[in-house]
Amino acid sequence: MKKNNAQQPALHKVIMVGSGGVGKSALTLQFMYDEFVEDYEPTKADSYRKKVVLDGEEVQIDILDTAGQEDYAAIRDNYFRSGEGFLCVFSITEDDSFQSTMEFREQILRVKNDENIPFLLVGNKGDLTDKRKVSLNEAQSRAQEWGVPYVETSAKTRDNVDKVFFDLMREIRARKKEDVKGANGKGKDKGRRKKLKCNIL
Amino acid sequence: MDFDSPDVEKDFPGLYASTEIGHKDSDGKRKEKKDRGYAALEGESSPEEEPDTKSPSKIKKIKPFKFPIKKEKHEKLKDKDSKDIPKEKKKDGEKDKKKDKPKSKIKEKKKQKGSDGKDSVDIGSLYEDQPVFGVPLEISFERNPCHDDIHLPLVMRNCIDYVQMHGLCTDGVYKVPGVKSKVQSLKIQYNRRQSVNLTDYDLAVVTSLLKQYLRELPDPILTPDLLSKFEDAAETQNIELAKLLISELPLCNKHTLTWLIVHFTSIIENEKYTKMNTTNFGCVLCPVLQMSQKLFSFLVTKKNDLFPCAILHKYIPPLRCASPYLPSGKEEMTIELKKQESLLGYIHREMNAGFVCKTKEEELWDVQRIITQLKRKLKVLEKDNHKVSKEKTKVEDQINGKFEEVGTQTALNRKNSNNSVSGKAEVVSITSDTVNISNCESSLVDEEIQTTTSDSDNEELVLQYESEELMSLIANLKDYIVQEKCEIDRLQTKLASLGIIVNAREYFMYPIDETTVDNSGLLNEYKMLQFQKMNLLKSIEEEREAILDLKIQIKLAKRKHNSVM
Repeated sequence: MKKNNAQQPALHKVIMVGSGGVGKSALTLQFMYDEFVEDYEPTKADSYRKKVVLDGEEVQIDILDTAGQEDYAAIRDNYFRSGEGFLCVFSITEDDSFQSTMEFREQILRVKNDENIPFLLVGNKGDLTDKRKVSLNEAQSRAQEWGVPYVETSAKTRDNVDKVFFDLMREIRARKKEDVKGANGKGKDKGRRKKLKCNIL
Repeated sequence: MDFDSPDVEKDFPGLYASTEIGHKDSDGKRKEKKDRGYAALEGESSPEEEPDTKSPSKIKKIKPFKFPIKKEKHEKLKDKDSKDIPKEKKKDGEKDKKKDKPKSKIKEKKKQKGSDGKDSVDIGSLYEDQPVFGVPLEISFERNPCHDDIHLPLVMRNCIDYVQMHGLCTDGVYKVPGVKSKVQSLKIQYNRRQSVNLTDYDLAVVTSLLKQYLRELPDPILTPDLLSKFEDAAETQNIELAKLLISELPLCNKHTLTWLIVHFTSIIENEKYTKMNTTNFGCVLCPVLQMSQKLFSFLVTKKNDLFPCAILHKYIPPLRCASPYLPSGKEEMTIELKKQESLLGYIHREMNAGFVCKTKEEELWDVQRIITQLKRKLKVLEKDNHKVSKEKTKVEDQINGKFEEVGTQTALNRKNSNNSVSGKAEVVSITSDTVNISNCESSLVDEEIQTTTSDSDNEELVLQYESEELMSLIANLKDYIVQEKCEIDRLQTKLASLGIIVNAREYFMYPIDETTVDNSGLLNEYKMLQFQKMNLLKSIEEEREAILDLKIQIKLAKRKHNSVM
């Protein structure tokens, strides 16, 4: 394992969460293959890997596209546990999907047990402005409450698609560097230390 | 251990490609030497196993001892298990540790999360809590599955595959015991869900491992409920009853029984080399299988009736490395996808049972990625197929259109029946030829029409002749297509059947060279036939054009003659 890490570029593990039909797969496929798929097909779970250049450094990104439906909640924990960063997606045209971001956030915090886990709130379907149900303010204030960035995207027009993935990777990378430092000092107090920091901020 | 290295498993299919004969010989020599060495060291071996460590020739004399032991087996099993554990130092230590720890899995999970370095130790002890050996067959399968629809614990499948490959010509296979410490270490590896490469071990170790696995099963494979009924069926040689009983067995038991019996039969069929006939093979295995000699020989001798069309096929584990190694055929992809999904389900099961570690998580993502890739590839393939089939129907439509043109020009009643037939005829391989021919036909017809329009009286007559010619041509071509198709089918079935034979032979270690030569010969023949077919088609096309030309000339001459008259 250690050998592999030394040979291969850094690997960042990103997980897409959000309720069904908000465009998690569409965002993923747009980022991966520059394609936009119109027809809706519920995802059970899909995983992708891509080599990208992040600020001049070659890294690999692993994207896990999860099911929005509750039916697959049983296997979700196994995935959440291994994620290093999360894109929590909702559709700006659907208020329910915005409300359920709370549940996803809770689930992630429960599994990861870490409030500072790299996390982005993503309002997708930004191109459908005439059907907007979730206001920018609403979304921004929730993001602020959680202490996470909020970005609006459009998988259709590719607006901000790269941005959300790259921003998240930067957060993951920063977090990993911190962890290395933390591990040199104290091992298990990581979580607590971070929480304190967060409060001060 | 290379617990997480995918290479070991990737290499695993290669197991069968290795040169068997050389391998086997060297194994045989090594094995004997080592046996002696370890037998001397291992003073503690249980009385049940002791006769096994002696030379094969002595075993025959001791045989009667095996039967009285059988009755006490259950008690001994328990005793032995408790004896076995303290023997292993590692296991011992870990067990103690585990007992000290509170049993709640949550706490362990947290620990694992905190420090990845300690993962393997914690997981190891967890695995020993849920072993593959010594648990009911179904549970064992769940913990150690094959991912290809065969409900046989992987350990047995691996052993059987190995013996099928390396042991069918070995004197005293299953009788000669393997080095105990090695068997034990293999058992631990399986219990810990490590990927095992049996090619590193001697045949005797592998057969001993299989026997050990069977011996440790808490229940007989024929199930406690049905065992006596099976015995009755053997007593009365009642095949129908036995078949019924087999169908009543749980899936795992059914598959296990089938594979074991088919495997054992192939060893007995090779008696010339293995020196194992039904009787002395039964002596070795009946106690382990918990069945009487009579039942054993009944199952083995009636194998073909009881397990018709049961063919062992070697296990090919799901791929562990993405993209370049993925299959590209639709069928292969579908099979691989199924395997990967089974593997994914297994990983989820294991993780839900508390086996959480970095390696498992990485495996989860990897398998998920392979599944995603396979699904994407399959989708692309389906789309392409859709396109191809659309184009095909287009071409067929065109052809039919041509025929109809000809038909309307000739205004014949016969056209309907002919057209419908030609429309139905599957124009697959010869499509292009037909198109060419029909093209030239229609152009010829056009010419004909142009030349004949001047004389409207004779036009109808000429066209009638013309259409008759064309119709017979169509009929001939159709016949030809059908003939060709038959020939293709025949050759393909011939190839396919030969292919099966080749596979079977490969598996059972018959000389392969001869069959491969056969195969390539057949391929050459096929190529030759294809070439001849193309030539024939060309010449036929030319001939027909010539004939048409001649007929038109004759008709023109006739018309001239008529007009002169």
